[in-house]
Amino acid sequence: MIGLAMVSAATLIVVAARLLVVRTLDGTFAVGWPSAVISQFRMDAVLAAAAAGAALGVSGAIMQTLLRNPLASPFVLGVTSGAGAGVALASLAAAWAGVAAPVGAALGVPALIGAVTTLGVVLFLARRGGSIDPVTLILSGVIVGAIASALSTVAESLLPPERRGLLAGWLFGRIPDVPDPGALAACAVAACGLTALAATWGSRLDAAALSDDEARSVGVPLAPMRTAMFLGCGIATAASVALCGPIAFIGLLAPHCARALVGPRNRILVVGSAVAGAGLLIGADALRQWIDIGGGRLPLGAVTAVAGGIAFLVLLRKTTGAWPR
Amino acid sequence: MRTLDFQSPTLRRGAFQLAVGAIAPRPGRITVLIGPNGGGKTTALRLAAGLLTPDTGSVLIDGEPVHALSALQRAARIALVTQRPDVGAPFSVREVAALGRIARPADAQRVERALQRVGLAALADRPYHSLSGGQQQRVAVARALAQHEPGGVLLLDEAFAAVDPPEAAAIVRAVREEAAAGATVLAATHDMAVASAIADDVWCIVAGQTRAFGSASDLLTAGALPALLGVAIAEANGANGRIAVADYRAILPTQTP
Repeated sequence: MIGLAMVSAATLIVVAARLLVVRTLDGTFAVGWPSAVISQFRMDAVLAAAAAGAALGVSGAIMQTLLRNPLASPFVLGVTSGAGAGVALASLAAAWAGVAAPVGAALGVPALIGAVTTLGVVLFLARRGGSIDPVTLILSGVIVGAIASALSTVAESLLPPERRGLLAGWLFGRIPDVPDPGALAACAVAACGLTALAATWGSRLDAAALSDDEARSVGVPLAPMRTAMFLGCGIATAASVALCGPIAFIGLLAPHCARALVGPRNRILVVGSAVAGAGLLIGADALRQWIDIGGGRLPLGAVTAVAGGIAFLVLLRKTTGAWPR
Repeated sequence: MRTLDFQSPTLRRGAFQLAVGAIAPRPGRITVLIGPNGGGKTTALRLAAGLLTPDTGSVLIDGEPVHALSALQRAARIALVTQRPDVGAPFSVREVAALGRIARPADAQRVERALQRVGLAALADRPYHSLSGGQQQRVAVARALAQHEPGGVLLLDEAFAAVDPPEAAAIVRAVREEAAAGATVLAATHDMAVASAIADDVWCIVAGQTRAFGSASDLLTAGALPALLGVAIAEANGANGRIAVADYRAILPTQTP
């Protein structure tokens, strides 16, 4: 509980910083409550980042437990890119059909199809003799994710120029200043629902870390639980992609941050991972706002990819695909 | 006391077929499964645990097909130690042992007692992944002991394989206590010395078929084992009777200086 309080306090500090720290026109920073209009913009952005970060954080924690792999996450397994490809292909299909591109909550359907399809393909490819091979899992995720990203690029290049800019910006990953209410609500419900379900099944998730035979022998209905949990992860990831576009590495880092503070028991770990994911994404968005290296603000996806990619390499070096001794 | 009854189950997996016939390990006794590698010992144990569904025939527990029970129902009656225990999360030793209770009412004292019985109480707070292979095997036994209810079924698949003799003795003692309390124990091992130490009955499976089933005093002997396993067996005088050991010097070619 102390750990969870620390995660929550850190997230609140990040939220407060995002709301209160103001960058003035001369490039310096000041602390103060902004005007009503600006504070509403910031609050909407904070809510969107919190919902998307929580969805990715809890999905990452569940994937790492069920796949017994500390490197598993929606992005590393290609699910985030798959959801992005689903949206990109739906946008292309809409352009060819001469209808308006899907926006807001409507992005959730192609994102979900892309996410679940990608997850299914990666799990199928990683199966060796009835069990999931951890190294093949990561390699399959990286390759399938790369193919999905390439499909997104192809779809983007085939779009008419007037539609291309919107999709290109979305594919970078960004926290919308004015989030679609439907997409925000869907993402928040998916994140809270998945966290509540996983916390309720916390003991079963703990036992799912055993080998399949051992988990089943201590009383875990492994196959239906895995199906429900992976589907939940697919829905939550798709909802976050529909809201904010594909965002890298939050789902990998949030569970590791939470595990360091609240321990490995899933009943509390999934809650901690959701809170940590929210805090990390709000923090990354705040960082993006404050970094100015000329040529405008950085894309959010670039910030999480650079920071998260370095953290991934550190984890890879430390764990080599297994839990550290 | 639970009853376990193999009613001629058969199972085909590729070129391998298991057809062990009708066998009923007796409650309150330890039945040791012996046989060559790949002969079907683990498959027989997985059938008994309800983890495999037989093609024909069945394995019954208290008269019900074990594979048809729910995971929770099976966990209340059967505890299993697998050949290769695995934990894919950074749990402590105590947390892993406590996983045996997830389908049963929480019982911290029972978990502590299980760790004491396998000699791991002092390591309870250590990270599981910092232990040696033999110690991890003992954690799996502790988890099964924490899950096991008196009079239930206890299945052990090479639970002694990576464990040093003093620690193996602690497991032997715990298993014998459970059998004395009415448990039906089915334990696969390739170690004839361990088999001599714990077996009341012996079940020999070769090439998927039952080669022999009977009392340990009849089958764990230098006279009977070579015919069953095709290896040379020697007998030695143990503290509590004769024990059988594989005679590797009789198996290996004689070396000349």
